[in-house]
Amino acid sequence: MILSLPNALAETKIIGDAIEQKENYIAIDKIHFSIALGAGVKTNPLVGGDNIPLFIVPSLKYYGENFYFDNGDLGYSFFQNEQLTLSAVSRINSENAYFSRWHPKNIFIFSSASGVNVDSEQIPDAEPSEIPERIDVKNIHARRWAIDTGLQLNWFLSSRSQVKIQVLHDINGVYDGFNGRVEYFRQFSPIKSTPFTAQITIGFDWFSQSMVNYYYGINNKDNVDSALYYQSGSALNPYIKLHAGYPLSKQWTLFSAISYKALAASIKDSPIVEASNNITGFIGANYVF
Amino acid sequence: MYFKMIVIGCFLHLTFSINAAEFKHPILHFSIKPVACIVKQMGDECKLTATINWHSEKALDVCLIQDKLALKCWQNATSARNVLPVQLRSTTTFALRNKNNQILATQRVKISATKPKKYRRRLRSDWSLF
Repeated sequence: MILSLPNALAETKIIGDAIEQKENYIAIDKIHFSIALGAGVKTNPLVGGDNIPLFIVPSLKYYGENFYFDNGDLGYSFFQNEQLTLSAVSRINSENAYFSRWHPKNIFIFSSASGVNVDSEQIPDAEPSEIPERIDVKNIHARRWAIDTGLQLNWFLSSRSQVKIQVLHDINGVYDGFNGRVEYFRQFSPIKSTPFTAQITIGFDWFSQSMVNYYYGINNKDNVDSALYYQSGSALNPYIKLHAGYPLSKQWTLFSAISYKALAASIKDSPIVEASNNITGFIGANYVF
Repeated sequence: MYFKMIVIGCFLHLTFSINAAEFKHPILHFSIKPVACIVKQMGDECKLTATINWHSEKALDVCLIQDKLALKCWQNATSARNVLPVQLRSTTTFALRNKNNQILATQRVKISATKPKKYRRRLRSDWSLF
């Protein structure tokens, strides 16, 4: 019994046809631009940090034979074969997105709210004479943007799945540490014989102790009561992402996306953090130019 | 081109047969032809009609597997010869798997490109912004 077969029985031939849609492949030497329009939100776990509404999310990609730019990742692949690609990669550390509205990760997200709300009220239930347990992020020393550079290994398990391993170090001496990511993602067709596609991504981010303490630690630079000083260890933040898409035409795809990241104890115990997770949800349509 | 394919096919077919004889599982022979597919550019999809041939010393319930999907299954069979449509975009290992999920035999079908590649694998997932 045939359990799974391609829909159409193609004629026997050795030379395959080029096709318009190439899952997980991208045409080289061409700029790829798309805009997602819809409604969504990215939660901000910081005290005094507003959730960020999502309405318009652009995507920009360019791949050469070796060089590539993919939504903020700037890289050069110096080893490529069918199973593996090893690249040097550089990008702006995305952790600062929670601290600054004008992080590149947020800059194209059109909303009326800031990542850090300067009009937010003071922490409730804190008596003036008492030391609050939490610190509003607008009252601490501003965190700087870090530029991370390092190595990335992509291991292609099949045409629709891969494992990505990334180890990065900040090159502008902001936190003087490392971060890493291990991620597995797989595309699949939940309903056979329809164009409906889905994708699941699971992985974890690892932050070195110095990175955790730079962004989430509290010290004398933050000009708060010394009783609130906070230093901690490294962090391991597991996450899961689910995406589903239904193409309406060559240009338009309806889709929804949701992601959940659990914050490590070393982050969620910080006085500037009030949530134990970070959630992003979006539903809308994507237009490819 | 077809002649080249046949030559490659015969060579690898012979190689596999020798390996199969040393196999402890009951599969004595397993082959898929052609064993290579030439596309214009790497990333192009290859559609081919593959001939699957296997036989064993005892009756088996087995399935032919591509990327964890069963393309065809046989029950209580000692041999089979089938022609199936197959689609692949990268070099793929096909396997014969029994009902206990044991891999009894494998064979790779390789993809090669005739022109410099026009496509490459994406290094971020399509929806990584969210």
